[in-house]
Amino acid sequence: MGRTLPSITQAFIQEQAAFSRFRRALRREDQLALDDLFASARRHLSAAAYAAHALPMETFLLSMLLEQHKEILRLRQKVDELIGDLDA
Amino acid sequence: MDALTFPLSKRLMVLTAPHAAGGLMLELAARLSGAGELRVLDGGNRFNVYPVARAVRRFTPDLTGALAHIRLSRAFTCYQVLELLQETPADGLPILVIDLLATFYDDNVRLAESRRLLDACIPHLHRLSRFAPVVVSIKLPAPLCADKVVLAEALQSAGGSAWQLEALSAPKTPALWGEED
Repeated sequence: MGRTLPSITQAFIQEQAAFSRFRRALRREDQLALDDLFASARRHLSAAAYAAHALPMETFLLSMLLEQHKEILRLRQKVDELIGDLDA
Repeated sequence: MDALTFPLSKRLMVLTAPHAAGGLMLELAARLSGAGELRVLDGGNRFNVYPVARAVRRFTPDLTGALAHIRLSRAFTCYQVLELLQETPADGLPILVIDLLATFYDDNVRLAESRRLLDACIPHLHRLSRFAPVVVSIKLPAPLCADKVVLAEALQSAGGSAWQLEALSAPKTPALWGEED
């Protein structure tokens, strides 16, 4: 008796492959940025597996947003620190 | 898909195609789930919910509701296929049977036994098709068990209508400078 549902990693690879033509049409720098986005989604595969969403791509997109927001928070904190240093 | 006109009529339809028309059957399940409940009997472990969910999203925003309309049962041996069909009530719900013959082509099951089981399955398909549309998808046997093609032929002749789908070959791109062979 085999698996009845692809694993989340298989689903991720399939979704990433579905965008291969899109990736190919991008500039090199944009391709690297896109690869970064998928790499950030890959970090949350275990959470995506636990979520067991019927549309896993939505979970992957949210994972990308999550990493983007973490980056924004980190940069905002850095800016606040630099402003504080300038004011001091 | 267009040949399967909606609403489906109450009859037994048999589709023969490579990969047992898996993609087409999932698309059909998605379309039917938007209209109400249906039963899916999976004989070849081909029902992948992710493509179904993507297709459902195209037809309706109520993804969870539509997916809840699908009553899925899987069989992993030909004996389980027969038991599934025996136990399926004729309650008027449309029935999709995906890759019905996959387990009948098993090397470990002799042709005579496969034939006996299929002969027992066919009356149940007819029983169910009196009250609801029944769409059965099958594939032809692999060359290793080519003698079991009689099973596919028996099912095709039992169906009220039978389609044989074939993959289209890719169109040949014309050469830019005339003949290049």
